[in-house]
Amino acid sequence: MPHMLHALTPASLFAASFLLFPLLAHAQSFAPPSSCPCTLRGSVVNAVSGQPVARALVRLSGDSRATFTDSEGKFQFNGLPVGSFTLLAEKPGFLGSDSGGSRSPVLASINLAPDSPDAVVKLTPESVVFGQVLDEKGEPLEGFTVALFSRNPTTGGLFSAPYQRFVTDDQGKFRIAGLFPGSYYLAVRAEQQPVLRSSQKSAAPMGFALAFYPGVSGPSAAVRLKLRAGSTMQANFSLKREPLVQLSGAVTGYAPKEQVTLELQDSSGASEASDVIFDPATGSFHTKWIPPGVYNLAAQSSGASTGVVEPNTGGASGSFFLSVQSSDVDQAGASSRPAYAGLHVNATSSLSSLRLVLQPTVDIPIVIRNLPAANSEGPPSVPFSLALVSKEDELMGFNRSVSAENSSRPESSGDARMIFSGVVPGTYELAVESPSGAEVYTESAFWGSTDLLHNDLVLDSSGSIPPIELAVRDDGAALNGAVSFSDLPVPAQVVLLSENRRRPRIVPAAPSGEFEVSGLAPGVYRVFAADASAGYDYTDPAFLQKISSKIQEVTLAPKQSASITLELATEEE
Amino acid sequence: MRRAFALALLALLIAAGGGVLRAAPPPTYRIAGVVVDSVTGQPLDSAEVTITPTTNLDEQQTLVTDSDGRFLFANLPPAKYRLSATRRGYAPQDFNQHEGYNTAIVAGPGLDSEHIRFRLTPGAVLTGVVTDEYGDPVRDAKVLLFRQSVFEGSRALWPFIQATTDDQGRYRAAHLLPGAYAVAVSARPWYSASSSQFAGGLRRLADSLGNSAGQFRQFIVETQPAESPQPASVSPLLDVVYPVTFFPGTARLADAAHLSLAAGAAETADFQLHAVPSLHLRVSVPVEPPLTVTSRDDDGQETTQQVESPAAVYASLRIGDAYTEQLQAKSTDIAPGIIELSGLPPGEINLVSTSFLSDQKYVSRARTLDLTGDTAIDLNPQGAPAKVSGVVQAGQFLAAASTDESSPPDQTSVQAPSSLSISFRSVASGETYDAPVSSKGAFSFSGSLLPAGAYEVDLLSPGNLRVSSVEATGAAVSGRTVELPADQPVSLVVHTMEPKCALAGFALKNRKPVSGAMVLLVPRDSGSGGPRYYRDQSDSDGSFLIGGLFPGRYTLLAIENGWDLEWADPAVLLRYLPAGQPVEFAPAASVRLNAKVQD
Repeated sequence: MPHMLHALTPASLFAASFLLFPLLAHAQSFAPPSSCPCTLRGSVVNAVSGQPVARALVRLSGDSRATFTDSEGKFQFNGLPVGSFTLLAEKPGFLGSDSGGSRSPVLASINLAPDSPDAVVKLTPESVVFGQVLDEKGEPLEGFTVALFSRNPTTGGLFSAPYQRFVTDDQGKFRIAGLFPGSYYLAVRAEQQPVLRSSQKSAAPMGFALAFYPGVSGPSAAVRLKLRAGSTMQANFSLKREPLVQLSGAVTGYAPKEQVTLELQDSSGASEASDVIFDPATGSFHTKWIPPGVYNLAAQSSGASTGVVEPNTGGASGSFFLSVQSSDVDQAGASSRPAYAGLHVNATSSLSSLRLVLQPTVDIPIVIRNLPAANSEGPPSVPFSLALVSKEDELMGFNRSVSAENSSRPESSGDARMIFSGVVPGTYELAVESPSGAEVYTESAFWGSTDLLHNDLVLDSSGSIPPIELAVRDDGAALNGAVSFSDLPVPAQVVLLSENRRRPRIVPAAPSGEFEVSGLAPGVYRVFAADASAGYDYTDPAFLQKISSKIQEVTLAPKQSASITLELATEEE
Repeated sequence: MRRAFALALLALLIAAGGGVLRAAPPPTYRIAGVVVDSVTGQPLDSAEVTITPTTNLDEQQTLVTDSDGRFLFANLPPAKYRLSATRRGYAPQDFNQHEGYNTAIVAGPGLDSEHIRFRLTPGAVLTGVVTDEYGDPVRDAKVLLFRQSVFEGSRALWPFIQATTDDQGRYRAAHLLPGAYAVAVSARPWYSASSSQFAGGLRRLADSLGNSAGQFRQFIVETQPAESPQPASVSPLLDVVYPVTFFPGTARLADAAHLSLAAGAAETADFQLHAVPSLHLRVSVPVEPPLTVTSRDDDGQETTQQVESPAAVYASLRIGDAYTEQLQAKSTDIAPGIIELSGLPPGEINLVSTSFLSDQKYVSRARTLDLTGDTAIDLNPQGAPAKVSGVVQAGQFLAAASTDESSPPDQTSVQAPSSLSISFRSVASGETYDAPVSSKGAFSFSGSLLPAGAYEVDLLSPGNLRVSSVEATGAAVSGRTVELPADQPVSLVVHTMEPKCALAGFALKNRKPVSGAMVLLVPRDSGSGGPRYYRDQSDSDGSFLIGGLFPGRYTLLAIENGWDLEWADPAVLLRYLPAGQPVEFAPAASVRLNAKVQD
């Protein structure tokens, strides 16, 4: 799962983009400072409104001194020597330099001289989503879970794991603060279905289906909430009671003593172990009353080895497997392969006779040719990571992917060998993730006659499995440059789109705006820079159309090194 | 009946339910009634009513009341059902709920389960805003609500619920039962320097230490002194805390206002917090000899190293009479054997220090102090230490616990810690000294910590194991109390007992069953294992069931309308004891005995 998780750490660079220090550029042009002690004066301002921020804490790194800004946002430190300092500024209601820690002050570097102008530290205000969940009669729904999702811009996967979860109060209200600017999706789910009927004779109990904002059942129709820095957005839900449904059927295709698990996931990726009752002795299963909606049923048998197939739900709630205990695993049957069966159902009413046939998973060998020879004995190291990303589950709110592992098979020639093990039959995209300093690029990737740089890998369990053959070259091109916004350098994501690559190549630009990427396959690239936290879908044609004036086209020859300057592309133009 | 006990009963029934005959369709029964507002008596429509068989929690059913407030569950097999109801604006309640007990409805032949009047109490709401002295909202402040009520036989301000402030400093506590409340806020200034969670982490470490020597090694690494042993100075601006603040702005529970919340009322209580300099507590602890720690790398290579024996001190704060909160104090090693805790608020502090005698043996020592200013305390033992070792006779418990361990057996299994610890409580000072018990039952206080004196021996056990008696070689014993001499080896054998007895019966008055009565089992042997009371509430057919009892001699009482009784006061209890029935439990005994209901 090499690149699935980036979207979970939005904007570690973002907050720093508002730290602009006009003073640095000027200091050099004056006569060298005679002497200090000097006074470092400055102010803390709201990066969006420009208003002063009072009672912000300002500290000097490596020093115990601390001060608060006054009502005009001003602060000063006296008696400092000439030199460089790092200022740390923070205040509740403003974003820190990373989304993880509660105390992550914004950092700023200062070169202090007697005639330095005032420092200005800009703090980005947090964003807030709040709302209320009501039923069809306008009654508040208490104890419902509101989950916030963000889009994964790198893979184009529709959703990554839930970003944050909140529970509605007795008024049905929720409030999610401390958000970085960007795009989010909201879903609301009844953790405990209120099974409501006025008599036991009513046919099916009633309950609430999973709803994505603004009240749609599936993620594909969900509306994106675009949060600007410092904005507060209201998102209300009005839910209707619907008859609950039951699913039943059977799992087949496994030996009596195999350990089989069955999991039911809704389209937000959430699963409730107690919802499925599965009898591995007979293979039959049924669910409790569950809300109508789209579900994924996944049966797995671990075979002998531990399962390699990992449903990458990654949710904060975790995914729960209904584990079927067979206390003594038959060691003789240990050679059986892990098997898997997946079924997507759109349950608008109760469904019976569902069939899940476990199919053996498959190992796909990988051969990587033409790698530069390793310095010492041993196999050449592979300077990128490989993954197969399931195309089928992409719409389900979770991505399943298999990462390549090093093959234990001995080396012949100078080729590197890896393996995708435990791959479930299905349709996959080959994802090649290179670090920005990579020296080689993938010239071709074939699976039999299938060109995996342009086409999907469609795997069924019948027939022989050819290896995936990658050919790499080391005569790649390099591109460097700088990103600016309103003539000031900003950190960003630099995105390179190529006809010969299915996924964009994304490299970070530093707070100075500078970026550098090597190991690029020769060819034509469309390049732009975007705010990492904005949650744009870089593969969305409509988005690319909107920012087309900021996209630059470059043609790179082998071993060429080119430079460009980019202006930050924003959708709001 | 008691909520938590239903599952244990379920296990009993499954064990007993061997053969069930299937002949004619068995008769079925109904549970029916009306839900009314407890204040106005008005029937309540749209209330959600749930029945749950006490022996099968999966067979739960929920209905909503009709426009007359009525509900009807039909076609029920004969069984005991927990009945609960909720409605918007009302606190979710069990039928006739008192503390954790309720009256379960028994459906069956000859029993009336169709004329239930469920009085639902409207819930009150308390909201407010917490700000600092500059008017800025205080986020993530903990708002604690204490309700004046009788609980476990004592009338006091008991912790009822807690809420947390949002980014605007707002909190909201709903579903409050009517009554008098005291409200407190516990929070840290967002800019406070002592935001280290080190002390809290140590507490967890000390708790889990028994199970993983690996964690201990990690701990040792983490506590290696930094390059500069002097603590970095902290700006006094940031070395601040908020004292726990009771509404309307006082530091003491005794001075707190009692907010009276009527059923269904909505009140507000706003707080303004004022930061004060944090208190510093310098703790001197015994310096134990260096430890030898053996670690094994991935290739199975063992390396042995000598490390300083780390000492850990952590603090928690008492808020009110029955609530303690872990403090996120910052812990700094000043010198060997001297630890400074900073970031402490004023108040009554529970202090626990832990010394490590090996990577699997430690001694913890607890003490309470009222902190009003910067203080130094010396936890070095005064006088000569006692030398105690011994064995806990808990064969089955320890054997069961050690088979749970999935870790491979190793040569040190005699020393491997179990989940059990032994606790010595000083009769003179009230301080406690804890040490782990190995999987073979062995324990020792071989370090310098435990001073000579009289101690009460107890066990800290996840399985509720208790001390039944103590034998000593080299010391005088009375009940669980042992007199430890100085510098003279003492060997103890600690006998244990497990809570495996049960009592079942009916609460009867003039031979008629009484539902909703408080059933109370009063221990007569206060010496063995300390006094422990057990309770239940009689169900609709008058039946009660109390499981998980320690063996011993008790007096059984049943008191009608006894739920406001302050029975923890011996003078109150004395009125009822003469008419109680004596009952004695042998280990693992199940006893049937009906209780005579008193007024």
